[in-house]
Amino acid sequence: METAHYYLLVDFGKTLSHFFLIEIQSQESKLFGPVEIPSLFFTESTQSNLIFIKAIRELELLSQRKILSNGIVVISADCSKTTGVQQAFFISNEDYRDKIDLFKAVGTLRTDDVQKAAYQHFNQLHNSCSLIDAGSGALRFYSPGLGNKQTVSTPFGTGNSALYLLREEYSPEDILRWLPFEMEIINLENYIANKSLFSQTIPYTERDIAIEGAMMREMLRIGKPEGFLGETNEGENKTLILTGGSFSKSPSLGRTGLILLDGLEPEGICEFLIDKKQFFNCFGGLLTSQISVVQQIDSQNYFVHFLTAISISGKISENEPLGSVFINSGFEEVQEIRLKGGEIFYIPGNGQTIECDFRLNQKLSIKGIKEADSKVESTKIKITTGSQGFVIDARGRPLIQPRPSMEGRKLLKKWNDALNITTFIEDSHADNSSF
Amino acid sequence: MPTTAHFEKTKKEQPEQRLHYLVPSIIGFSHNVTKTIIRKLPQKGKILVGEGDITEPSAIIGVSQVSPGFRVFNLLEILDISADKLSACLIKSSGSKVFKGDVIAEEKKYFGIVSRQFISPIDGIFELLNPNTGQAMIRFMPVSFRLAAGVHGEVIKVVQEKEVHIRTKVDLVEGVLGSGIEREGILRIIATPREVISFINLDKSFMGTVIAGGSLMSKEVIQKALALGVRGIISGGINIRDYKSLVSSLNPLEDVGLSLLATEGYGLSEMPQDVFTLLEKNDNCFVIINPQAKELIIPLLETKDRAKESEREKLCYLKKGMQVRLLSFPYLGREGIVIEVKKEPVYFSSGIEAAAALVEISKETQTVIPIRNLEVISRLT
Repeated sequence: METAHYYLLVDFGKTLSHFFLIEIQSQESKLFGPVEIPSLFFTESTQSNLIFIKAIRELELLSQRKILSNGIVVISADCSKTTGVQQAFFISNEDYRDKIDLFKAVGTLRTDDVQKAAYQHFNQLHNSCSLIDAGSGALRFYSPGLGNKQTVSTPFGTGNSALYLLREEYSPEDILRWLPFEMEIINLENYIANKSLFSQTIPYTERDIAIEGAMMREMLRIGKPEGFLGETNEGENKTLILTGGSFSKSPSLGRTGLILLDGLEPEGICEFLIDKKQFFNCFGGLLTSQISVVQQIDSQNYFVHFLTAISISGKISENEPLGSVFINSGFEEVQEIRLKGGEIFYIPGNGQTIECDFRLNQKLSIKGIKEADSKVESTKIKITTGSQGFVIDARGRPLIQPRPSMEGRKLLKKWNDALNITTFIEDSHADNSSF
Repeated sequence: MPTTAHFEKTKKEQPEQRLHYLVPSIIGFSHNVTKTIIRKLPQKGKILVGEGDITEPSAIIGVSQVSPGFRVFNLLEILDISADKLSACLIKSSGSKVFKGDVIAEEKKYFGIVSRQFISPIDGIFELLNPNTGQAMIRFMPVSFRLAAGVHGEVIKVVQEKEVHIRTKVDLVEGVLGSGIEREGILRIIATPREVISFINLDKSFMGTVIAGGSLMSKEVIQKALALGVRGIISGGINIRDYKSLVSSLNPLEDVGLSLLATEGYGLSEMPQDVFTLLEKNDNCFVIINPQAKELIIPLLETKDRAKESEREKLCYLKKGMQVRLLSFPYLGREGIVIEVKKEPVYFSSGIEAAAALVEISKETQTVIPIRNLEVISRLT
């Protein structure tokens, strides 16, 4: 039997740091972790070294593999030993060498570099792949349509950069419109400002998670660069990968899906993949240093396709009849859904390939699939649903946003209900739960 | 395979010593701690003490000449002349002393019948900055500045012509949000912890003071305080919109003319009672407000032994019985006692699972809250 290889991966983020151990054996990989620690435990403490060692001990418990000996990471090329790792990768844009002894021996990879490497990898795997990294300090967009560098970084963040949303050019009312409850603007502003002061805190109430969802929608709307999720060739679907704490830690995939539909307004067919373990940067670190190892990792295990979104474009009114879609999941009966304007239709699934036959009003389009005013009566497409299924967004493009009013909140409730978001709490325990 | 003993050792570590129970530790306030105060001359001057000297609060430790400011004028516009005629119009030369009422420059027309004059509005030193544009400046006459020690203590370092470092004993109040430069003044309590500071209570008697108390300092209060010559304000909170309207850049280095310090955060937040009690005890005492360090320094009137400053550990493991501050709505800024540190992660209504603790905020109120949303308060006394 081929011997296993082990790699210690540490990603030092601005607010949170993540420790992973990955085991690779016989074309299979197993990821242990993350052990997650607020980064201020390294920057603010005189015992950074000790905390670092404690984090690795936690990782040892998770993986049942000894990594440390006498407080030092054992790095050994000999695969037969039961202790240690083949290599250790530390990823950071900051220099922690004066605080953590291990850094002096191992060195660091820059976060920017490993992210680029990881994105390039996915861009080759998927046609027209875009990526969003939603961290506490910045919102980064990667897409082929963004010019030579293929990346744009914006200063929006849900943690210590939250204050950026309160600049003069942005309006707090735009965040309010996404809240399913009434709130005084002054209290919303103070909430956002306090997030920048106490960036390590967790949104633990429904109210908090709703506010942060509203913030993320506006950050996406404002920050989305031109060309992001841009045009695709006919018949090609878009792929959007999500990473960063704001997405990876979201307790509800349905909520995440709705945030993306509201904030990005994707057109055509878009597959959403989520990095549930915030492994993206570490994956990039492996790519940067150990390409052969990466080939043995099935990235689908860690970047999960959870939802496919089909968005209908065109000016659409509330309750306007749009036509029908016939869904063939391989069962005897074909399911018909009559599409109404202003609604979202969620169809559960589990990664299967299905056929959708759209019979829409002439004026409407599905980008890359059906043009507006096309005389074609039936448009058949095959899609792969996500692990949670797929949605048909019949609210039109551009999206008419809700107003911060009772009517607006009813609209939000309708969209949330369509994705079972209001009842998600009972189901959120299981990894593969419904929304 | 490695033995399980290695892992058992980690498991057997006291559960409270696991990483997810590690929390930031803050002081809130400290009593009778050693601190080095830096006393600076506003401009280069002469330092009158040396290392090892013992100071009293009223002792003068440095002197300098300070120009309180300057005013800029455009002579070409005032006299309505072109640049080539300026030198002929000047009566006072650049660098000369002028007094209020002196004619500095004059343009006569129509054989002297009509004249325009530039008369000095203040006492000062006249400087012609740019003869081509007519820009001129009058620098206010320098005044003598005497730097008092302000504290009992020992001089541990002197930077010649500039500053004196004095080690002393102080009471210290820590905040979370500060704006502006370091200032000093006399502490005046203006509101109880729950009250919102009212601008009606402010009058000219507060000139030169650092006002303290209350759960909120509003823009109106800050503006009135500025007009009255108040040096600083320390309160529980400030609304971000008021803060933005005053500190438009949101950069804490920006100074609006007085120093601001919030002990709890943004929004209406009650100042903790024991912090307020400490401030009350020091009402009418000399204080230094340092927004950049987020501190209010209250030099003690008497100092005893000269203990060394100790470095405080900024993290600790959460345990039952600890006093904590809550960092998130709806309890932002509130303090409580840890009743129980949960052994297993808790699922919260947001759907997030996290390490948690049961905290008693009052006799009627207990709440389960993520450990990440807490700070331990360790008062140093």
